[in-house]
Amino acid sequence: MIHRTRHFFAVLFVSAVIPYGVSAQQDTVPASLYEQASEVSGLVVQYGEDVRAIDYFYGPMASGGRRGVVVHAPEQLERLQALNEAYLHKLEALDFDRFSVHGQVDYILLKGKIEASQEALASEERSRAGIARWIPFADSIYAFEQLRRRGTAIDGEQVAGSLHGALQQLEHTRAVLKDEPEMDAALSDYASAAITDLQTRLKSAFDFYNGYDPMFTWWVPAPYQALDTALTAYARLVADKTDAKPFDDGSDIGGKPIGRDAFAKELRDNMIPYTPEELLKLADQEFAWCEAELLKASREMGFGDDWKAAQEKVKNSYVAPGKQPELIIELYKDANDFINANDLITMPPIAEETWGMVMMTPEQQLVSPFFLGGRNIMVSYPTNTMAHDRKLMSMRGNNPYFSRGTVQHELVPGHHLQYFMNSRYKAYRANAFRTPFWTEGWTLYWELLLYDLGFAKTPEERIGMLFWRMHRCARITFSINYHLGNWSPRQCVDYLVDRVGHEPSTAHGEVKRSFEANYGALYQLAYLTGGLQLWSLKKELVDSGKMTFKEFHDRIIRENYLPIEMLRATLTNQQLSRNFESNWKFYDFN
Amino acid sequence: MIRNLLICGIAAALYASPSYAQGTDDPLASLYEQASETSGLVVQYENDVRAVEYFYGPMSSGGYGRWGAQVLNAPDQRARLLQLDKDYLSKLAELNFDGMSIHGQVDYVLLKRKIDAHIRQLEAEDEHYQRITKYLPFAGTIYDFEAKRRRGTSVVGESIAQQLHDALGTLNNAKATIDAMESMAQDDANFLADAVSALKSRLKSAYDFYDGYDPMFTWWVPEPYKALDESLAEYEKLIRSKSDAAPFDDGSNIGGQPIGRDAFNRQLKEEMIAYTADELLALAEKEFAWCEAELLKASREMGFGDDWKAAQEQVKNSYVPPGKQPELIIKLNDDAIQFIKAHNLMALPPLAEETWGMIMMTPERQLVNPFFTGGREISVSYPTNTMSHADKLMSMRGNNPYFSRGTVQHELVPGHHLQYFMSSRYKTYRRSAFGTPFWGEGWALYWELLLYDKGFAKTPEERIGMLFWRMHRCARITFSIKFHLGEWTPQQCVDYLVDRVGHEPANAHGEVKRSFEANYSPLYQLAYLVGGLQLFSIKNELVDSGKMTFEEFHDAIIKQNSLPIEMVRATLTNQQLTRDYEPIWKFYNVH
Repeated sequence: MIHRTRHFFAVLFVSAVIPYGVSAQQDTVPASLYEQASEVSGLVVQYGEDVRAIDYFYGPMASGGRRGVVVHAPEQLERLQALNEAYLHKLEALDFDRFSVHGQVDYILLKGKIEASQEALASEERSRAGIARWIPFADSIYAFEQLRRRGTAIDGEQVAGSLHGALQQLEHTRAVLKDEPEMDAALSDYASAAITDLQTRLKSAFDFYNGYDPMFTWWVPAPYQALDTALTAYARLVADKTDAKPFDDGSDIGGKPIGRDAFAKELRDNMIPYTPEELLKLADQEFAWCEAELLKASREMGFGDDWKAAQEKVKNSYVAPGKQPELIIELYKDANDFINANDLITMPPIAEETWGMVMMTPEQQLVSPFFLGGRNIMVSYPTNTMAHDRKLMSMRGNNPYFSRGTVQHELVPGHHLQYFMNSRYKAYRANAFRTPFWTEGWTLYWELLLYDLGFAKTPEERIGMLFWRMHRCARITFSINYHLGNWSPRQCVDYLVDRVGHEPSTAHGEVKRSFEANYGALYQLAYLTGGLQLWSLKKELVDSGKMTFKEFHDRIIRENYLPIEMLRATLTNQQLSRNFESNWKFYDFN
Repeated sequence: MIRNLLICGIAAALYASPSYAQGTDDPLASLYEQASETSGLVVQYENDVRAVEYFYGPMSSGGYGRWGAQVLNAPDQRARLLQLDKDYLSKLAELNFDGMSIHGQVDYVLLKRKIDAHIRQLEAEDEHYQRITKYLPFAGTIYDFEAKRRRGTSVVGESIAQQLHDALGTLNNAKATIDAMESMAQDDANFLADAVSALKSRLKSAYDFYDGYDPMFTWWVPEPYKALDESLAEYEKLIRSKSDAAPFDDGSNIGGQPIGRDAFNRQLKEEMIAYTADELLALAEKEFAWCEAELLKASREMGFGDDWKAAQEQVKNSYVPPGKQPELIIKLNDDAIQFIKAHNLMALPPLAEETWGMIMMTPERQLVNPFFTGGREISVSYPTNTMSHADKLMSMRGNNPYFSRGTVQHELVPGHHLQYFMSSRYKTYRRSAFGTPFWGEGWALYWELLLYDKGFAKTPEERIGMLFWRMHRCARITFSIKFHLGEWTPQQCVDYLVDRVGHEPANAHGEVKRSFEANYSPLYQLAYLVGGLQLFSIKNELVDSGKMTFEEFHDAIIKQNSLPIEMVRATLTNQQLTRDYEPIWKFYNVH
């Protein structure tokens, strides 16, 4: 049976390379089906939707819905755990061995996703136990909310009494908390989020009855408003009890290192079978290679080993105001011509035709000093209203050589092509299996590939591309050193300035964003790590002659989001098992 | 062979497991629950149209994830869309239609019809554009400027300033021409004004791209830009004021424009309804007469003889006290679900029953929605202390327990909530590609027909409640068609609803106004009963004949997602289809 399935797959493999040229063959599943779905994709879609339904129904219901659930009510936690159990049973009941590799990959990824959700919920349950004594009034609110969900008729006087009782409990607890020492930062964060969540749930229940039920409308508004006001103040008090402090290194950068165990676990969850220490070594090895290349370029430019002087000259090569869009187009064409001349990928004509171009507003440029891409390219370049030093910083940072490798990173075959293809092939994976190792890995991989194939000819061009490459190495280094507690934010900033050549304020923004904004701990290291994974896969399949570049890239871009190890499994039609564990060693440390 | 596999597929989908998402035993069946041989093209076509509309539309200035304004196509945009349509027709022509499963064939037929309709629409738009282009002598300047902006071409500020200034001159001439006109046909005036408004957006998009970033542009262009921008706004206003559109002179203060018999019949064909407007009028009358006879029976049972309005009045006054309506909704929901389970009509996914939400409708929304609505949640219409006395009573009377009996399930399960639930879990690509009220409203209405047929309304009061809505759906067919054929004015439509269905005058007026002035398609209101009758006819064909059980039948339909009912039938009967399939199905005997 397995044998038969594999045979189907081989047919599919060949025809998938021919766009749209699909013909159904006897005894086979039409290839076009596997471009959109798999034996398990229905479950993937349904699981995502079921979680959404539970988050909605057991959340503070409101006509607008809500996004980004951080706190679950106890009942909601239990319900999600039961859902996870039910889906693991559904998966177990499936006949894994009969599936195509597409179905097997979706199976493994869905199972991993559910298991990760189980762990996250269990951890939330522990946090909840840790804060229970600080929210003794929670049960009255949950009980009220539960009645509201199915519109149960209630007795206004009784609800008023219960809310008033909750307020008394709150005031008592607040008095106790005031005299307590500081709270663990994670617990304090969770407690204040839980209190705000209770406040939202209380409002949802109150709004449901108020005005519609005469006795409720007479009794409840006053005690409701008193409790609501007290909850706001109490959430603030709890948040202020945190023991978290910005690092005392003058950097004014906060965030919280997650520690070695958590970091290593995230790597495993993302199917990266290396320890943080091994990745540090990988980054050093890559960095050293870049540095050697950089010195070569610096010498060719006549600056000897003073690469910072060479880099300074490159930074000052910026084009005149008003001319940056034209430059972007020129760099875009350069990359495109190069890719076509080397027959690297089939570019869908509409993807090339329809990417948009917008200028970034001065406000956005404060956060995004370099251009960004996706549906459109957003160009960072100064306006008359920006301060003089900001104007110069923007122009220096977006000079033609720095931009050479990154226009294609942002457009095609980079983020625009991903945006384009992800809505056209296996769209369900974009929601379910989103990972930066695929998004940023793919775009960074193209920088590696273009450099390798000689896209950067002059020393200036090489310095430009190396700037970004060293930056990606540095991201691995500073992310890990920070999260393992080895480096303070200030040390991260200094590393970027001294070793990569960043302007101090850009380096500061980069580090602050990395640790204070909502990136996952692995996001910044996913660029080069994902890129090197794809690089290794290229060696295995293209350099060995098993596939052409074109076949290789055309396949990858139709798979949508997934960990690169699963991409490899798909392309090599790897024998998989239900309990697959990541084991792919993609990097050569020698 | 493919047919063979497919039959297994359908069989597995139908028989394997009554509860959803078990992941059927047959891997092929699980694939066809999510995709087909043509579903990739369906998804790609939709996204390609979106990409072309974005790129050739007025691209926004700055901002993450911001789409540009949706405005009238520019000539090059229209040409590009036509080209895209033709490319996709070629792609379809290359496919091996006969080698596909019925799922792939249905998607093929629907995609082809969608593209054909799009081509007709673009060609009509182009014809219209040619007719009014003489009033847009300045358009070329703006299109050229916009074309440069799309790929960030460097421009000479002084020269752009001169061009915009010259455009202002030609605009003033055009304005004088329009000003001298007595009036303009409503169609032309709307179209021309939309074209002017589109040009204004395109000009802004191009201007914003350079202003502030290019020094010479920033010095030269702001002044002539502002002058032209303001003038365009005035021009648009002037054109709209010349429109000969007028509310009907029937005292109703309701506008809208009848589309005429030919357009109406064409739209019916596009929606795969193989009947003419006149035949549907006969259908509505026949259904209405049946309802009236039932209504009189109920009225007599209640002791009101043939005075059904008196019987209906008693039913309207059966409303529950304020604060108790949500509880009533729950009770009616439980009643319907128990009835459905007791008669083995459908296996309902437990999570769908568990997770529908409930919210109270705000007084503001109740002005537009006098009755409850459903989907992800049920929005309950019932009065607040802040509503006027008359509005309070109207809301309570209209949402009385008997009127609500058949419609709670219409809005929740197995109606709109279950559709919402299943459409995000099965063949999701069809939702946006082939969304149609004949499936969306037809399914929900079909359940009202079925429940009535199975005896869900036992007492005469319960029957009067369900018949109110059923007659309302008949009336929607009648008044939609008569209005669009030019036979009735809006006031005649309102009177019909009041006299024949028993609506409160204010609700009847709101219903008619919404139907013709809001953005409903002319067929939307008739899709309820027509779609319902289509499904009822398939039920006769497949369930009453013993080929399928009710549970199998309903489970298969709800997993198809949105599509014309004739294609639901083709899927369930595994009908032999052709590439150029035209609707032929006669689901109702109008005589």
